[in-house]
Amino acid sequence: MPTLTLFGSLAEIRAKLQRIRGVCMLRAAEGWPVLQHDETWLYHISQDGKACPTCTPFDSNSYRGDYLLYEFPFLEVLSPFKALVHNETSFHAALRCQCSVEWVNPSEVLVQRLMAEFEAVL
Amino acid sequence: MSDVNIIPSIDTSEIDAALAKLDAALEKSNRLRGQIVGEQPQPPTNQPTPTEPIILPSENIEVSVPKQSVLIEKTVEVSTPKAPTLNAENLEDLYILPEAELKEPYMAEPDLGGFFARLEAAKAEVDDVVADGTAKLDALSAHAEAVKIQVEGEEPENWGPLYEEVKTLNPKDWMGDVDSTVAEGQEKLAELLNQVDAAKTQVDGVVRSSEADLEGISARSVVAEAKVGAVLSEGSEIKGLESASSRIIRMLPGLREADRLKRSIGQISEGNVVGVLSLLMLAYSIYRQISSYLEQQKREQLEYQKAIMQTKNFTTAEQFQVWQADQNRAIRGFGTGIIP
Repeated sequence: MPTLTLFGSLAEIRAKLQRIRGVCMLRAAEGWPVLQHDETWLYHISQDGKACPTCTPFDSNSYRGDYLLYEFPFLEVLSPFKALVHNETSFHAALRCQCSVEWVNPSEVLVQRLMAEFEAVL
Repeated sequence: MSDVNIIPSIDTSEIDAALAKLDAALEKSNRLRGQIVGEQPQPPTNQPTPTEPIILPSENIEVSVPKQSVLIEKTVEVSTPKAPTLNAENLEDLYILPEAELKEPYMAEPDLGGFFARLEAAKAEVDDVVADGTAKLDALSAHAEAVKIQVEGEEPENWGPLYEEVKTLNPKDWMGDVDSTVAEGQEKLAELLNQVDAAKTQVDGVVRSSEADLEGISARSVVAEAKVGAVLSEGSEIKGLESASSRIIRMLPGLREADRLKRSIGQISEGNVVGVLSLLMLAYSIYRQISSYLEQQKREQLEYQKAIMQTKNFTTAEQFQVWQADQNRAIRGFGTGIIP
């Protein structure tokens, strides 16, 4: 877990803590949009044994969050941590693909984003 | 990026606790700082400082004069070392200070000589004011006594040149001027009264002629009311005729222009400038209609020529003109029964 060290007089430290608290309140209310560059998403082929020959080699591939939409234009985000890729191949149409991607490092990414915003306001 | 947001759950209780601790620490440090500031060496409060001025209480000096009494109030402001119970008796006792305090740099011995000098100067100034006031009051009393004697009728020994001048004045000298002024005013008043009478006569004549005119107007208005009633009784028929004529005019374009022309000329005959403008606009409208009709005729003739030239495979306009002349001859011949 990264640590943040505050310097200054008591009044300055108090002001910095208040700014940090403001960042926490903002993010707890708004959050962040997903599919950004610092996210790592893992490709899973469909588990019903019907993965097509085009999708099968993609299994366990890692993707940056912001590249997913370029790689898979029919991507459907189901939750902040999971999305269906809807990969269009020569074997099936896009919406018939049941392969998915999963965000594997959310805790690490969120902590890093928070720390970056803390440092920005200090 | 997508529209889905990830919202983290952030616990700020530790930050709040740290803020509370910091608030307490800040308050404590402020309190400590205040105490430290309060313990800094300061001059003793019961001892006077050389630079601090004091204001002595106001002195009310009552002065008795022969005729009446007057109250002169004066405030004496002297810069001296601060001493709340300062007076002439205990002044020297107050400035006998301990040796230790006299050695302090900020407790230099005050300049008592200067203070006494300023006190003497203030007293001398007060004495001057009192003497001046007394002298003025004496002079005022003497003057009042002299005036009183004059009022009671006693002849003063020395009233001055003004009294002598007043005694030599004779009222008969200016009575003649007053009489002439009164006579002149009476003449002007009589003239003014004559003018008022003439104006009144003129106003009466105007009122009489106005009343006669008014009677004539009333008689004519009765006749006009009767005529208006007759016209109003036939108003519904006139309205129906108007609407019918306007419908007919709208149906026929030529009649519409004629109607507009009639209205414009009517306005011009009434001296209305708008009539001239509407007549010009009407002329322009007729010109545009005729020119657009001629343009359309020309365009249709060209289209007809083009279509005939394409159909008959003509390459020059002369071929088309020859063909058209033949057609015209044929039509004329058909109409007259001549076979071409």
